Amino acid sequence: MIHCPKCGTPNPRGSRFCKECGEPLPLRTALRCPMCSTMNPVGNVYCDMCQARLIPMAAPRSEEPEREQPPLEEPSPAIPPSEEEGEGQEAADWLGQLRASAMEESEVPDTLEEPVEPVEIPDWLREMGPVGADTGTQPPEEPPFVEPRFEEETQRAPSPAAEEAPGRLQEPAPADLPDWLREIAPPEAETPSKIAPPEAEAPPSETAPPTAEAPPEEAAPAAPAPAPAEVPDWLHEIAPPEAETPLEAAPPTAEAPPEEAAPAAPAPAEVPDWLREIAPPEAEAPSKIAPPEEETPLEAAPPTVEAPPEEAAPAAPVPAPAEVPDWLREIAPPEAEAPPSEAAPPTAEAPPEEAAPAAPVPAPAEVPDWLREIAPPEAETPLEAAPPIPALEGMAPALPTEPGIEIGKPEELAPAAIPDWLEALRPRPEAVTEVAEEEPVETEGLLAGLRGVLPAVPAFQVPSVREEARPPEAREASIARAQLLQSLLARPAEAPQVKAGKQGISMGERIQRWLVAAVLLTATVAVLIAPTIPVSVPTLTQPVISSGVTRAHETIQDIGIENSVLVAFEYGPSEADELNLVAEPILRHLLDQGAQISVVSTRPQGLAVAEGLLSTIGPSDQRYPRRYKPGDATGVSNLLADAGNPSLIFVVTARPGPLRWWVEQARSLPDEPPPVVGGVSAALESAASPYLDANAGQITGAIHGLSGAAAYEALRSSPGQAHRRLNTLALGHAAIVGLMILGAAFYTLGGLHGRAK
Amino acid sequence: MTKLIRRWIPSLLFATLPGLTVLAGYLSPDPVLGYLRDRLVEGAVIVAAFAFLLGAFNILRVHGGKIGHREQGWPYSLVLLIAMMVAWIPPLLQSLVQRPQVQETLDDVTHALFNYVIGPAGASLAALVVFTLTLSAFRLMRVRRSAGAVLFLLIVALVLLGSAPFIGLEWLANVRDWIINVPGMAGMRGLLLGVALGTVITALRVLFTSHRPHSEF
Repeated sequence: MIHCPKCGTPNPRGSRFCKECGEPLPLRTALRCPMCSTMNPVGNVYCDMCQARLIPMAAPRSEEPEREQPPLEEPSPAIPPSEEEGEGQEAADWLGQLRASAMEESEVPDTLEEPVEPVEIPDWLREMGPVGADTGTQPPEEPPFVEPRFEEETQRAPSPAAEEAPGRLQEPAPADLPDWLREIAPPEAETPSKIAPPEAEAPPSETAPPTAEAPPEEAAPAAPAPAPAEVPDWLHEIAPPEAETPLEAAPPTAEAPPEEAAPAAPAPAEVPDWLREIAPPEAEAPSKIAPPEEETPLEAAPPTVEAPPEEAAPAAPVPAPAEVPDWLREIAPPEAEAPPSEAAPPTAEAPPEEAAPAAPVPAPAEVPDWLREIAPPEAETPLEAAPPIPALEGMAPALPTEPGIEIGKPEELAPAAIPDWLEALRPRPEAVTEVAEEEPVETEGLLAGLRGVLPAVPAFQVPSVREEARPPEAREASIARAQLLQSLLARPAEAPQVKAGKQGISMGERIQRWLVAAVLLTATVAVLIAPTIPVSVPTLTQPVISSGVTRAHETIQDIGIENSVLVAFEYGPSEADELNLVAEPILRHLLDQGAQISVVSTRPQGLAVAEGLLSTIGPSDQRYPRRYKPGDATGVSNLLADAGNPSLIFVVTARPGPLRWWVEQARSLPDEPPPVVGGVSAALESAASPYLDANAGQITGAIHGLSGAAAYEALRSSPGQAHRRLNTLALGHAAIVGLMILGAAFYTLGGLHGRAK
Repeated sequence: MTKLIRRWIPSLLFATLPGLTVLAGYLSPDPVLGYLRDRLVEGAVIVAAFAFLLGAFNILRVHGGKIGHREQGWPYSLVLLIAMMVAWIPPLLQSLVQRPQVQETLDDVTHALFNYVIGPAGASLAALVVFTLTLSAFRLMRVRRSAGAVLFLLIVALVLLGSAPFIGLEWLANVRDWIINVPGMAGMRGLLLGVALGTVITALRVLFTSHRPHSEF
């Protein structure tokens, strides 16, 4: 949103001309931080990056040129970012102005004596009814613009003093209104321009002249009939003297008729509640200051409303400097804060005669310069009110006793709602309470000598439009998370506790495990012990002779004496308990046939297993050639190459890989491939079956597991270890099947019972 | 150029050329190719042996550190290192000391370790598999009560009982043979074909440097 520099109308971002007045708009307006050069959005009081103050606390003074200071081009820090050089210059300018103004703080009385500079009031302010009416029609000799409260003091003083007042009161007005104030101007400022055309005709230079210099008689007829409701509410709010306008309307020196004071008063009834909270000090101020004023002749006058207009003027309570709201005083420049405390005493205590010359001195000092710049409407109100306005004359009797609050007839004023942007400016309670007692003075750097440029955190907080208060819940949650993280980090590292396996096992599961173990142990151990018992154990099973066993037997039966047989032990100790029983009957058969057995393996454990087995079944003094060759398929190939042309290859393995290697490499021999007999574990039967297929012919015969070995022994009619263990195997299998059936029945019935429940 | 050196030359030297040479040695009866194939495979075996050695030293370092720092479970690390030394030192001394008596003694120690420690321990582990499978079959209906579970249990029972049929139940052996040779073999053939295809594809990817497990680039 870009606010028009002329009329203040907010325009959409990217607009080139004002949609209301057609004024060319800056392409992109931003505030460059004087410290870090960061571009900040308009409306920021402090820099987003370094928190430096973006908006000067003291408005630049117009007497700067007299002191050979570079002239202010634009007091507003709102600068188009495209102009790089100009930006830096402007930033330096306003900083220089700020430094100069800070250095002049101690010279306030002198500055007050300086001649009056014309005040340039922006169009939108001039177009507002009361302002424009005065400025447009008042000649330069009009009394200077004074803050109402101060004007009242000048009015209480003798007229010569009042004539001097302009000189003293005339604060060096800035060349123009700051942009930040211009930006906060609401669009309502445009409406008065339509109502008060005469002011639009007046040149800006004419509006600026101090109204205090103009004779009241001249100001009165020149003042149009401004509708109080046309004064924007936001000006009511930021201009505390509004409450005093009725009192200012009847100063002894001001020739304005008392009846005109009433119309000059804005619509105080429209003051929002929160402003009314701020207003009480102003309303109460007269009562507090009244006692000292009673000592003076002027204070003896009755109140403004009840007394005749001529008497009401001197009776107007003098607003104490402390009546300025705190939040306004906070955002005021430092030099604006110092004078009030010093100027207040003489105002109240000095006698009228003495106060007359002295009054101008404290009076202007009580008003911050920046407030005086934006205050012309209210200050000129009494002058504007000079001409009789028939429509508003009737409002005079209705003026309430409390100034500034209930003046005027509410029904005649359009109700004004507080705009959102103004609502956002409402000072927060904590911001109001935390009043900066004294701004620190920068001692070094570019800001040396300046006061309050960098905020003394957390001296005070200026409410910002962009500032968004976070919900307290989020803060509490964030604090809670931060505390949790801190506690976790502070906690010493602990090794994870390994839960014992038994903790998660219920009694039922334990019973199941023990049941399974007991059944298996009983079935196995009992049958293994049975041969040692003299009681004969009946044979429970008979081996089933398969075709593979028969073909293996026939193949080995053909092996004659002096035929070399390559026995590959491709298993380790973990499979030896089963595969030793598988290999034993075939090795016995080969030894019986007188074959020349060569032990080979591609596994390092294979030779050790073979040696242990052959030592039990063969002659103890016989040594068999052994050869180990790593390299999987390549090792098998090398072993086959080293073995020459074996008559038979007997592969004992529990893994599919070695069986495949031997089958493949045996088939790839250049000569006629030797027959291959496999002795595999029961688990590998399905993997060996494809090679055993009669159509494939890759494996001549095969023995699968303990049952196959028992079948081979049965074929040879020489029962051995395999046959003796076959009963154990059968009982173990029967026990496993029984447990499976028991578990299935238990859980099936249990599930049905649970469903029934 | 840097990319060529870093990426392609190592792959060509250590993957493509040796792989194609070994493959050609298998496919061709040429003795030269067979000799190159054997030498390359022996080199790979030597590298693998050093890898085993590195693994052994890593075990020493890790578990030695655990024992030194008294970390949790350090007694198990101590047992592991002692067992490793006991299984490692006798064969090492057997190869270093050539005296017959020492050789015979060390041979007996090695066979005793193998036959009475390593063998039974391996068999016990295999028996634990039987116990675990039996317990799982017992609780199968608790976990999954469905027709598939019932069919699974039925087939397991038939194969177990048919492997060592009791007298009078020899017909179960025929049922078991049919299960093994028809549906079982079909499934196994499918698995073998899949494994073979996967092996071929992986080998081709490595040979043609599409997959570089041996390189970080």
